[in-house]
Amino acid sequence: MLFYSFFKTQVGQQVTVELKNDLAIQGTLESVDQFLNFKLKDISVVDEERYPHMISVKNCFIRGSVVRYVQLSPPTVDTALLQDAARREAQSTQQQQQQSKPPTAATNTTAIATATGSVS
Amino acid sequence: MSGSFFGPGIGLPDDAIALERSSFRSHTNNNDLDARLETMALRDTGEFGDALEEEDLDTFNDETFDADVGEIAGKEFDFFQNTLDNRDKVPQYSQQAAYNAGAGFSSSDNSSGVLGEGRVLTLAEVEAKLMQQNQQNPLAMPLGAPEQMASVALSRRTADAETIAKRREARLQRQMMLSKYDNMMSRHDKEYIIRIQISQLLTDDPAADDFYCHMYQLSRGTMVGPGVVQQPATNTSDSSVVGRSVTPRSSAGTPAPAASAQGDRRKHYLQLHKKHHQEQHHLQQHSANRRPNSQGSSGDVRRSSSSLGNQHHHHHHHLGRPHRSNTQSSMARMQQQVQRIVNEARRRPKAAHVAAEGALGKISVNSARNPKQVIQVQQRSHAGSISQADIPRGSPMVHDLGGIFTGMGDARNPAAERRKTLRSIENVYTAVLRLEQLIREQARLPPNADHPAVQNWLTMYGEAKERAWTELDASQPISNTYPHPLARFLSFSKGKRIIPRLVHHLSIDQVLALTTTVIANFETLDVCRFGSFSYSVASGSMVAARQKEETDLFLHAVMPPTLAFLSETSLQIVNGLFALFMERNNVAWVTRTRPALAFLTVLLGRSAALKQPGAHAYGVPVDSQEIYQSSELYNHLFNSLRGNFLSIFPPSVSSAGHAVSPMEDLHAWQFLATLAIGASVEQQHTLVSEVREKVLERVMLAKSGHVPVDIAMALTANVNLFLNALGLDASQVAT
Repeated sequence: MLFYSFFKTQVGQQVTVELKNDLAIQGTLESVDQFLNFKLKDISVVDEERYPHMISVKNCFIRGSVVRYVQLSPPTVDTALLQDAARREAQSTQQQQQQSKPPTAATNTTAIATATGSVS
Repeated sequence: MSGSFFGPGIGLPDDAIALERSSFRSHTNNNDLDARLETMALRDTGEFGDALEEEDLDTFNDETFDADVGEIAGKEFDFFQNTLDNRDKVPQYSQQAAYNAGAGFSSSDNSSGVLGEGRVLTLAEVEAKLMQQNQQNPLAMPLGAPEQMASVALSRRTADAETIAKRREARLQRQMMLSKYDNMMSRHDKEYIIRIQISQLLTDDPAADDFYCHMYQLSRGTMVGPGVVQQPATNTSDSSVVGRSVTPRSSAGTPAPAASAQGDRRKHYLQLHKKHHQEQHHLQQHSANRRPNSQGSSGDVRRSSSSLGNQHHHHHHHLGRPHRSNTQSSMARMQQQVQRIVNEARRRPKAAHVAAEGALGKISVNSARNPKQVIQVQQRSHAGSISQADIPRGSPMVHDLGGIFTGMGDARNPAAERRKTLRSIENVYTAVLRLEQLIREQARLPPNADHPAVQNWLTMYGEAKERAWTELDASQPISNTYPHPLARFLSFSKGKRIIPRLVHHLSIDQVLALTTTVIANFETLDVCRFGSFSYSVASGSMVAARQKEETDLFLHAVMPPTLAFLSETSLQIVNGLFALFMERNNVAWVTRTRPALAFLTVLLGRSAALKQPGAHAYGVPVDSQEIYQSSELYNHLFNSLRGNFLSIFPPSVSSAGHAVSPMEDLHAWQFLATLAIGASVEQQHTLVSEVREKVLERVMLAKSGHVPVDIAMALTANVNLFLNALGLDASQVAT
């Protein structure tokens, strides 16, 4: 949830979203969700001439999976805090992994034991 | 869709499709909340509400030209063909043409607007037209638009009453057809769906999951809307919680964060996950309603942000609240359900992997929290043990052979050493984060000291502090490995950054130990090893920039806590540290670096201050023995620097030939000034004779007029630091 949390702080800021199909859209970030889908307000396409169909579009919804880059403005980002948040995220995923590992290991060994037991 | 591409004055969109769509929307009398809100939004403050009221625009059923359902269903409807076929159906609007012409579209040639030609253009043609018009009339539009628009609208209104009635009839018909199948889902159904979606989002540890957003908003202060008063602190740990009201639209995107405390977890959950669209609309509606209400309610003024939890929590604050409207009560119901979901989720956490008994392998359940990995990274389980394997190899050698291999500690396996240091830095970070988290929770603890929760907190706090301290490894000033672990720690910029945060939690003794270690190993610090001002490195290069950055970071992050400590200790400690500094480091070499100069300045300054009659630290009067000792030390320092005073200044012209800014020698002047304070007459003579050239050079530069006035003043001020300490002044210098 780190990126989701991060983008929540970017709501209201000017961002430029570059998509995997090379379309770059600049606009005000209106909202973001858990899948990092973006809603942009008052957009303008960076390279106007290539995409005339976007001329009249004002707001758009971008599916998170098609985003390649999101360009932000540096003053809005607190890098030290971001580092801390990333560390916490890493810790919590580590904990989750540790929690999920032992039980499955146990079940695997019991499964093998029963299999061998039944065979022999 | 609004065609504001051409300027703000023109309200009508340019393409037929958008035209119809926007006009259709403005005419529907929709009872459905969502659509109504969308209409409101799209109307864009009714800028062109008037124009769109016109019936003339509202003739077609979007793209299908009044085709019946029977025509459309059952086969693949070819929109393109249909459009081409029905081109002629578009009536010739003379008024429309006039409008378009008046709005600045050039009517002379054939580019008289989209509909003015009486044809329906295909998409490609529309685009081509737009590009054409864009190039031709970039500025012509906004100028004449407003008046002409008004006149055209006026003429429109006086159209046939009969036609108007007919059009209205048709409109009502269409609307009825469309809303025949409304309300397919009951309220229960909708809430069911919402519940499912929200349950995906719920977290049982908002402090960890939403950490960045939360802390960011705390640190930046938050947006406070009009008429919103600070919430009464509801067992929160952050007294800085301000009532947050984001504008209704963006509040849907930014769930207004609540207090961080776990006690308000419910609120937090609810506020975290308001992203469902319907809910957004509800909330927008709700907050739009609430604002006027909240102004009037006595006592508690709501945050008009989208926080369901608030209402639930502050239910008892509803003083004189009027009878709840429909949406409000539905909101209350929804939030109760979310409550239930929250408790469920907390009770039964979902695992990321599902492995059935007897099955070989596990099925991973992908959610937003553990997404499908595009790149599979194999966790090397022995990654941590690499460094551990090295320790038994490395250190017994060093221990056995005493100091013979001290220089080899680094070279034996530099990669492993580096990783070990990085690992310990990360451990310190973990511990410090834990400490900070505990501090945040501290405010929530009950006041009586023997409460078990308090005891628990104290133990946890102590543990974390211990961990941080042992990882830092600063307790032994002198170690067997070269360089000292602390010096290695500080050679990374993130190591430097964590020091001030850590020092905040350390005890005085620990800070003393840290300072001692730093001083004892000063020479080996990377900032000193950079050499004074990198004679061999071009001044504009990346390496030089990085060096400067590291030095600055050191001066700003590591020095202040130690210096603060120094300026408050007794003379005995100051003397001890002074002696240690001079003993362990080659003073003449080290003073070419800024950190060393800063250190010495503070040391000297402190000892000078303490030598004043009547000075005492911690209520203990200064011992004459100590004063004697400090004078001895001073003399020692002076003698070791004799002949080298000029070298403490940065080079005026670096090796690359660029002139270094004249302001960089401030620290050198400060040091000289502090030195001069404690100098005897003879020593002062020595000082002056050695740096006379430098002084003259600076003063000449300041007076010459080659530099701007403020820089000249600063230059003189710097030199005066030194000269005033001697009792002289820059103005006395004979030019």
